[in-house]
Amino acid sequence: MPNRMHVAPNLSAELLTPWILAQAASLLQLEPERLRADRPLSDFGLDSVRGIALIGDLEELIGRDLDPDLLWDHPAVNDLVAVLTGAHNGEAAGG
Amino acid sequence: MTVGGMVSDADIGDLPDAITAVRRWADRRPSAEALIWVADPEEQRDERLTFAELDLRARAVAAWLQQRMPVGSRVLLLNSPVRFVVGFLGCLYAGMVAVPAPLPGRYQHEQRRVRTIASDAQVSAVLTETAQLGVVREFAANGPLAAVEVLATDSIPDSDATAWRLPGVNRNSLALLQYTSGSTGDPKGVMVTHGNLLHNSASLLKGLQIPASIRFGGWAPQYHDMGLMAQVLPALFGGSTCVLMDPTTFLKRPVAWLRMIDRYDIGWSPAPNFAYDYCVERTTDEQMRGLDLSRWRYAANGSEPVRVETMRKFAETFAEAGFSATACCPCYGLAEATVFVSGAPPRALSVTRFDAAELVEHRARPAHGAAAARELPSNGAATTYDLRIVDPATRDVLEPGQIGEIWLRGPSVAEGYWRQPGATAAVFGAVTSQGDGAYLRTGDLGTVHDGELYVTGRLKEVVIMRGRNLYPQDVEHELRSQHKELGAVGAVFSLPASDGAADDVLVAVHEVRNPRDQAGLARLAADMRRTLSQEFGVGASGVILVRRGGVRRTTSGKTERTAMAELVRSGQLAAEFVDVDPRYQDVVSVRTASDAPSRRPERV
Repeated sequence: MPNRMHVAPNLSAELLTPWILAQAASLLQLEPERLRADRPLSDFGLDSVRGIALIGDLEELIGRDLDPDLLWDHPAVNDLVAVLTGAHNGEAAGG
Repeated sequence: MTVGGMVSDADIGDLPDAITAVRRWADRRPSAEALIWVADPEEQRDERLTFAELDLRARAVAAWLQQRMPVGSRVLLLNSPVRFVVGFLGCLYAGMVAVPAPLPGRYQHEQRRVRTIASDAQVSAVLTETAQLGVVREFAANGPLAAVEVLATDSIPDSDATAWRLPGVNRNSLALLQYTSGSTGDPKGVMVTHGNLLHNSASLLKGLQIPASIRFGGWAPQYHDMGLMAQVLPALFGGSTCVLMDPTTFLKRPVAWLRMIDRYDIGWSPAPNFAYDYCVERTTDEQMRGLDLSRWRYAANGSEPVRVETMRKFAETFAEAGFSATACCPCYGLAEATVFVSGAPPRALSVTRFDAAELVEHRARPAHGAAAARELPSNGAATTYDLRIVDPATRDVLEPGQIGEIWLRGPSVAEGYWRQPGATAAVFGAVTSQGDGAYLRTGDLGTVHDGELYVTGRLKEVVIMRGRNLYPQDVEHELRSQHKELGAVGAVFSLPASDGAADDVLVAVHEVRNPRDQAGLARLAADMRRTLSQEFGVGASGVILVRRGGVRRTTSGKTERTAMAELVRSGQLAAEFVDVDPRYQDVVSVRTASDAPSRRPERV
């Protein structure tokens, strides 16, 4: 069974990006170095079920509910992080 | 009537209609909880409805429908996955025919499918809930639903219930059209009557010896037969409680499902096979602490092939949380038989090791010694059906121990497919070579061994090579067990050879763990060919290796072999490595991923 990482809920891109990449890599059973933050995670084989699992992991990290469609609208990690850190102005991530 | 300390539910099967089956509880136990929707099982954040409240809401919806359309009109239900119940009962109470469908998502093919269902069923109204009203209105604005009224069932005042009149329905009246998965262009609506619903719930409760006190619950969507007919209706017809959770909550954190079972005292919860694997994979030791699954009597596993390894692993992992292995409950069923066909009361998981070489020859013989074997779970006895195992080609009834198509007859078998007389005659009107009929052809292959049903595969997916049956699941499983470099999902199927040769062409597509290592992939493909030849005696015309996620699965985790075959045939599959027999280059046309456009994530 996996051991979930616990990181303080500090929503900076410097922390979030490697955390999401590591979590996605673990869901895909790949080395994190194989993933890229500027390409859709589906390019690396992330399917719908595991996409929602990743959203679930993110919810636990940041302590609030997220829209399960978040990865549909923001398929690359950079894009996702921009929304979560509020860099996308006015875009609601809550669900 | 009491049998062995349990209340017998045989009486449900004798009621005049499904309305009576629910209303009697509103009468006898008005303040008992009928439905609980759980938002957060840990904090017990939920919303509850008693039988009296549910009955009142259903009558209000029914009155609205009765004022607008004649009895027997079809009503499309477009709700979020576990919010169908009030609208569904409203349809039953009004004598209308409910047509449950998933909320149309953002994919074009999903929207097309719902539109095709709406026009095939010729619906007169759409029911939804306030939270989805905007989405549903926008969707309905064009196409076959443009002139149809849309109602949010939670917006009708309860006082409207007084206008409701009991419709003239009986056991033969249609209750719902259950659209089977089918292809997008050709969905088929299974016609389920009030009598089917009553008989099937009674069969489930009685056949599995489910105590009347047990609570039902889960996250299975109610536009699927399992979510509605194997979860909500037995609870409501039997006067128990059904506890519901949105499937997204489960997919985000599978432990939420397990916590709900514990905190809400659920004894019956059904799920497809993948859900049990998903729980093992995603539940942490920390989440396991404080979890008590000892009162979960029925972990029903149905709607996709049940894997012995999955059930064993789940039982082993959650034994720590008090889960009893006797709760593992493999069931067989299908929408054309309402839902439930067979299963067994709680007992040790019943598994038979069948001789793999005999299976290939259409025979189910227990394996001895070191012979290669395939373990299959028993699906119990189909006690409320006439069940026959039939040779699909000759229609001869086969003896026990032989493998053939599963044919069924009985009061749970539905009336046919809505407005499809040809398909209805072919599937619901089968007659054996001895002239015995009519039976339902399930399209599933299986055998009866020691009086119990074993399902060996899908008729359409079986690969026939030189007169032998190869089961794709077997081949995929063998490849994975011999080649650790392979990922979790593969699809083995056959394609017709282009030159009209009698034999089909075998193709194995499989996900790999490390798609970058081209030299390794070439070795792997060659080794896989060797395995196919040594274990199954067949040569593969194509071995295709793809990234994780490259093999298509349905939202419930079923491998879509037919869809994969189509992708390969039409040259649309993007692969990491392709090894095709030069003789079949024209049949197996596959690109490598470098030429492929990027893909957005598939939605649930």
